[in-house]
Amino acid sequence: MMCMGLARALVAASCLFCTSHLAQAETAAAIPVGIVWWPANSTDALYAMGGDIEACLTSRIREVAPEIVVTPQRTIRDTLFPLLEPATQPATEAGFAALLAREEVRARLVRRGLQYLIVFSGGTLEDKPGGFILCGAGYGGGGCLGFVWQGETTALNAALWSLDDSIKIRHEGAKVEGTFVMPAFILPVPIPARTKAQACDELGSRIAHAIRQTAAEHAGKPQDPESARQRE
Amino acid sequence: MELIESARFYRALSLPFRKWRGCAALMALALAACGTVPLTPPPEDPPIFQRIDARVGVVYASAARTPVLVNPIMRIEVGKASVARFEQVFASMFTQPVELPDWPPWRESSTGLDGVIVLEQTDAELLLTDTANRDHDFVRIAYRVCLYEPGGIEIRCWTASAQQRHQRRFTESLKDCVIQEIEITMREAIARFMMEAENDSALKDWSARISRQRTSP
Repeated sequence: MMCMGLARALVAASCLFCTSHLAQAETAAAIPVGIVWWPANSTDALYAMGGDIEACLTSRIREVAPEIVVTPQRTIRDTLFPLLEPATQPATEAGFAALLAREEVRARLVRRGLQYLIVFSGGTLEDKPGGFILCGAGYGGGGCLGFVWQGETTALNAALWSLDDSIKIRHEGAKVEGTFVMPAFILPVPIPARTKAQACDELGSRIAHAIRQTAAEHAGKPQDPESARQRE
Repeated sequence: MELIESARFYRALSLPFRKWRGCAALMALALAACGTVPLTPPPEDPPIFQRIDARVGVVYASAARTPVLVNPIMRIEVGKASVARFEQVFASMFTQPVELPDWPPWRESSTGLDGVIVLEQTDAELLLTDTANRDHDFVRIAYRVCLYEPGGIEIRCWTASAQQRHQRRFTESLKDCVIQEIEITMREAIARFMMEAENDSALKDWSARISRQRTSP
């Protein structure tokens, strides 16, 4: 009886050991991806080197799927210079696909260990502000009275491109509408709409799941000998 | 006696001022050195360009090397940073780039070369947000690059420029913002030059010609 108990305990311990090792193996299988804003707005190209949407998407992806390792867009643009600068980037999706299909481009991205490229676009549109606030001050004190609001919509899109065959494999989008309000009773109190943060969190989660799913499908699929040869 | 005394008095008085002048000069020099903000060095990866098999002399004219952007809080050596980037650009454009010395002039000494490429001019302009007139920073950078036959005959000149307008948020640091604005403008202008040059028929013709000369001398 005691022997049976001991055997069960040993089996349970070995199972626990195996599953923890399996989990470790799963977490160790990193999925390297790059991120890039395209088409980048050439009138404010500063964000092509990094910006709040990129930072937010990257951190959300890392939160949802820690195995995804995101290479920042500055590195991608440096690697592909001068082909992906806001002034020289392809204007159409076909052009973008052709760029990724260029042998040297693919070789450079693959040399960085990248399998997928997240291509995001979009931004925030603000409506005209409404309402008014009146402020005044006298010897006895001062203060404001009124109410101001402004509607805003953030629409973000992200496409997942496979670097093996230079095709768009997934497309995700997120749209969040909100209103910035600022009531003023003695002091004005701004209450931001946070549409950008919400849209970014939503899109980050979706794209993380999409990458995870695509990588799992890819891992399950028998490898195309041509792409295997290219990766080697 | 009185005269001697007053002269001594003035000399004694001017001594610290003279010392001060030296100190002030030193301080100004130190401040100027401190205020010089370095730009990010060019990336490790060389630019992508369909490399031309040619031995080309490379010249950086002083009008291209020396431009500096100065404003009350910093000094940015745009010419120097541009040269560092163009060194990489020319190395990716030609199989054998050879930097030529300032003296003797290359038109007199460019033997054994297929051509000479000259970064002739760097123009840089920086206008900061001015609440009265301008609600954004403005940066413009332009380059003039020319390719010559070894004898000095022009094959092609390119003028590439880029400009940036950026509305700085109050949370953004002026220094970081200006550096980024200059860097991206510089990148854009260089990228334009490279794309224009890669698709240029004159450059293609020249490249084909030297390739033919090499195969059938």
